[in-house]
Amino acid sequence: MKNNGKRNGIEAYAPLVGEPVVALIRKLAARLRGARVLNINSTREGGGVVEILGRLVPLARGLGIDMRWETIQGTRSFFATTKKMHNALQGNQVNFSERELQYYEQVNRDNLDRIDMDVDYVIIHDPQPCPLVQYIPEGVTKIWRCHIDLSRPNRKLWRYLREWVKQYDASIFHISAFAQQLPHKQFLIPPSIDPHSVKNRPVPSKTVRTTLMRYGIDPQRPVILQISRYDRFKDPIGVIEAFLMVRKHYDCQLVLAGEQAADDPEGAQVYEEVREMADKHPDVHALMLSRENNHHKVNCLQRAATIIVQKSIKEGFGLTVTEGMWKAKPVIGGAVGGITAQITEGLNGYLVNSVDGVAYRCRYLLTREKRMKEMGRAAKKSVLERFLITRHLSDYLAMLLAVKHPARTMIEL
Amino acid sequence: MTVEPFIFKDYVALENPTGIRAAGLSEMQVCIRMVDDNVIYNHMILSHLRQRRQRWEYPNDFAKWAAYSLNNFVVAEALANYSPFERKDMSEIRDDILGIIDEHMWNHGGRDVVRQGWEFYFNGCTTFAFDGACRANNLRELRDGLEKANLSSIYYHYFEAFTRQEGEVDDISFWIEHNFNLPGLVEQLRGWDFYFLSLDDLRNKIIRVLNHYLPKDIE
Repeated sequence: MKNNGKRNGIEAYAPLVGEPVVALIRKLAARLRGARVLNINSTREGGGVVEILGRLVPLARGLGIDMRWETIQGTRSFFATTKKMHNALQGNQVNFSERELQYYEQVNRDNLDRIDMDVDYVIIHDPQPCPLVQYIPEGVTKIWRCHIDLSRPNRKLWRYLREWVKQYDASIFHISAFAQQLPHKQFLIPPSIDPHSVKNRPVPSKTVRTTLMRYGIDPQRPVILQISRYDRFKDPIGVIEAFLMVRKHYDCQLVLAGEQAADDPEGAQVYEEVREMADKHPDVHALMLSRENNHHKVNCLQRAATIIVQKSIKEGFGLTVTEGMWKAKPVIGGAVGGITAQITEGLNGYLVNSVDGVAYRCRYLLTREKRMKEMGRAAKKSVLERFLITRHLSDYLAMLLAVKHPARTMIEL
Repeated sequence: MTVEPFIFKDYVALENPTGIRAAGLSEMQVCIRMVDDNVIYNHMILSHLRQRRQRWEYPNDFAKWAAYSLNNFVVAEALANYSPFERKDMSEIRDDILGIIDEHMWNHGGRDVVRQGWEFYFNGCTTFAFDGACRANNLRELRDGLEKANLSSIYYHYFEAFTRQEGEVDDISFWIEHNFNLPGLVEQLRGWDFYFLSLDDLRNKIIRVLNHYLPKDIE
């Protein structure tokens, strides 16, 4: 590819977000030039965290910041425990044995030899590597980045995890509702999408059509789409129930599509349940996307969709909502977590609270083509303003500067 | 007369959640009393920067929450109609908001609470200001700079300026007043109900007024 550096660097975003935004990012980065920043999470495959780090890290490096990304390794039993933790932090009533928690801590300890922590900042993502905080050397700034819906966590588990979180110098949450009372400074930094990624860049309509046909989806009939991991919190069964109500009135199709994240052992079971239900209805397509080229497939499916649904009952942020909005589609989202920060009711999408809500809004929109177009345009505009990677990078850089001055609220640079 | 250059500042703001939340007006009163001035600033003034170009119906976070989450449009209207820039500091603004809520509760009651997840979340803020690339030595350069500036820079020189400048004026009219003999222009720039303007609209209005003065008074 010609001129690769320019295509992949921050300059590539100037035509979309404007030269002043890019200049501002450069200025912030200049204050951090040479800083060594280490990100640690638990997987390099699947999920929003992977997508964000996959883009933020090279962009920051291109700006002269020595940003790295490492993952901890764990066993199946470790990830079963952390998935249980994930569910409990999102409100499920789950109990943990002493043995499970000890093993969780031990796997973190076992990862120490693999990770070089001779840096200026360590950013730990989510609960899986949270106990690593105790091993971060003195003088390194320790930041915990929470990507999950922590609005009503299981109290017992949060009391346990809070003991680790308290040891950080700062923590970052997607939205205010997830923040907790902690003895350090907290930051709100919503996640973002990359408009130039394979998942979000423009695709020729012929390619979109070919993708649909490959999956046996009829390009002539309206498509209602939910893209997400097969996870109970995404309520795929509820989406099918809603679709069956809509299908009584409109000749349309439902596509559920997701991939399997390496740190989510529960996904295969949920997928089986969904597929069993989908197999009974010819217009319901439940797709398990293979890793190969899956971002391109998601892009095509989202561009082909008439309406995008994200009927989550708990949601850290819902980047699939952001992706759908970026493609100028009307999005119907569960009124939970980060979805409420993205959708302004009736302006750039609809927030719903039930299976009936999804069915009602689908039927409402399917009769109003003009409304769908207006809503899609407003949706794209709001992503451009608030949820692109450039804003995310700018917030990250500002946070790295601010965390060094926790007592100051106004910083003159 | 030597003209001091106008230096466009770049501005970045981050929100800092406190973990404090209120489910109804009584709780909101308690929380407003206990939070830092910085939190009041974030919800009453900095809310303009977050709304940027977006269409909005309520100019501050308290009014927005009262309308959209609490569905109490009477108190939302009172909070929206309040002008914080007539006050000297955040403690006066805090007292006024408490007064508005208190009066509402006295007259209308106010025991309603929102459902779980729709509480008001109190956040502080950390802001950064630094010299931008652009400087202006005359009105034409000022206009060109405004056209190119980030919206956050417009916020800084207008909304933020009122909490920083002695005499509670914006940076732009202050600079013109002290460097050019153009009282008419200064008066126009200070004559708007800018609290209700989006940053985009504000930028366009300033540019329009400057354009009007450029050919006649400068060239």
